[in-house]
Amino acid sequence: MRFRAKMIDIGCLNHFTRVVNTISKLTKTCTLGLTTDKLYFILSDKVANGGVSMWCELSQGTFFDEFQLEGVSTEHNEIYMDLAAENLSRALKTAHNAKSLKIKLTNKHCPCITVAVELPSLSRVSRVVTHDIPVGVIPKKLWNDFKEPSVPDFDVSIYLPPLKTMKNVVERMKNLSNFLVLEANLNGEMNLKIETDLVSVTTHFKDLGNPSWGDNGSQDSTQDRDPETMMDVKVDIRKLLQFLAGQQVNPSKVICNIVNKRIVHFILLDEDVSLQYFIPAHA
Amino acid sequence: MRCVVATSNVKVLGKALSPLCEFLTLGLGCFLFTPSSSSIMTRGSPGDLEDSGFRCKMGMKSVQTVFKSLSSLDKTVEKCEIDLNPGGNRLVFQLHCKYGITKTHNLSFQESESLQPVFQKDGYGNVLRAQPRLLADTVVHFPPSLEEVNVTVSRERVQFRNHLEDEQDASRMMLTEMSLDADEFESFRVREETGITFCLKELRVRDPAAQSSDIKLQLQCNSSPVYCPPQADTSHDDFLSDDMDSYMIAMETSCGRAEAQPCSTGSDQRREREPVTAACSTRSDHRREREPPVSAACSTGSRQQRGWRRGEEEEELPGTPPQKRFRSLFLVPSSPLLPGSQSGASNQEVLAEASDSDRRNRKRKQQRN
Repeated sequence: MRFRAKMIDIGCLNHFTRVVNTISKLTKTCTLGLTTDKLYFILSDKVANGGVSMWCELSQGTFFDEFQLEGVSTEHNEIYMDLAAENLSRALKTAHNAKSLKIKLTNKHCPCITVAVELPSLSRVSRVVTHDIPVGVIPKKLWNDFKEPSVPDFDVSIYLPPLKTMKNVVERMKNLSNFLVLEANLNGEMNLKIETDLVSVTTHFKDLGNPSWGDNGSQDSTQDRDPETMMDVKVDIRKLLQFLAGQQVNPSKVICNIVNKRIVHFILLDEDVSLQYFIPAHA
Repeated sequence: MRCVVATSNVKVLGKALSPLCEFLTLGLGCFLFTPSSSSIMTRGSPGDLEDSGFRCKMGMKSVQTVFKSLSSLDKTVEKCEIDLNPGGNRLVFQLHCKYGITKTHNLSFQESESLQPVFQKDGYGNVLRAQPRLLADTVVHFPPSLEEVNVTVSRERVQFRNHLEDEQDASRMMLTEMSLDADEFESFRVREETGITFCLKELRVRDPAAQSSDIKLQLQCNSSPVYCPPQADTSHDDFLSDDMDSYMIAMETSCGRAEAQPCSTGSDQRREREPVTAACSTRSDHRREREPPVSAACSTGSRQQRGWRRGEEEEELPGTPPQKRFRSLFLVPSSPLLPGSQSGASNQEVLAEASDSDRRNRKRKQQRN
């Protein structure tokens, strides 16, 4: 297995750094998947995560100038490995003015992703900082976990209000309750509700807009329903806040799909990056 | 004993303490007053202090409390008196402020040993000199929590690597390495390849101060102690924002061979921190006197060679390995403030050691916790 990639453009580097920072805020460890045209950051829905899962996909060509991959075998030209996203984030942190960035799979004291940052220096020879991030290569038999999640059969699909606003609201609510009910309808209305013995608080958002999914089957089934009907899901407020607070990608729109009382699914779409995050309903 | 610090120097004193306080949260601070200027007045002749052998150590936090909020200190404090109370068990800091306000702080202290550094300043095979900015740019790539760093000096470059304790698992930690080419240094003279390991934390604190003043760093090493005198730009006298003449810092270091392999030691020793010694004297406005450069002292775990005698039996910690290992380096630079100095280690001589009472106190503390 071999992997080498090089990034030269500062804009790409900063964008990549922001994506990695977002991932590192969502989860401590995740799976890095490499294929010939994509990079994936994956978090499977294990009990240890509290059932949340994440799927982030980057198109390799938009970020890297050079990209060479030799996967586990010729038919399966892919590599999957576990790593601590925070390490990658830290390695990229001081690379904001780098002349180039190289990432490669190495085997030093253990399998590593080596990030080599070439920095400007006072002399004709550049400064090179290398970071060796230990990784765990995942055997092919476990690759079943790493399939792109399908969009759930949602009851409501709506655009979120500005993430910053939503984050501020949820942050305040976190002090009062551990769980939050997120409800929305097909009329562009969303409510965030918490309820305790002493107090209940609801924040209302209007005119958010509902994305149209075209030929999606879900669309048809919702046609008959009264657009005013609220579909809701009760989630762990910290998980929701983790998603809202860690965002550095800042897409223009975030889609929220709700399966009544079951799961909420967020989709962030950027030109080069897509990030999906699932939070299951609290039992 | 009594010292009086005039207005302009109270802030200086406070500034001298705050970097120490930042990095030595659990340690003890040691005060050495050298009354070389008219701004600090003492009762009795300067010689008395030396002869009386009064040295004390105080908790850094309590000292920090006295000198917190430097900007208001500057504006309100007219005089600072430091005195030993009649009972002899408290060091009294009295800040005489405007409008007749007096703030009195009674700080407890411990008497400590007098430490005489013995150190060879000349004859180094390797001498490197650079702007402090270079060091700052290097240090920033390492994790903030990293304690120690390996430095390898060869003819073409200097390499920094994060230091792993023996017991740490290399397969879990991110390892960072950075190399600087010889050309990046203002002066780079290396006669033999050397590797040392030293504590990174202290360096970080000094970065901002180092950059604000025009002090270059000079690193001199063979396999003997690394000596870092600041190279002040002597073309103008008043470049310093802090009006301090000398500054000593103690750091925990460990020796390394040319391959930069640190000596292994018992984990007990690792946890020990040497007392910090701060010496500040201020220049008078009229005379720009410079203190003669340096004294530096290093202590090691070895009992084989000693730079000075303490006249006390040394307690050997159980499981102390025979390998030599530094525990502290006291570095007193020449007149300008020495922020950003590095210290290194030698595997040659013991130059200063923790007093037995320190070790005993620490052991007691460890047992209690």
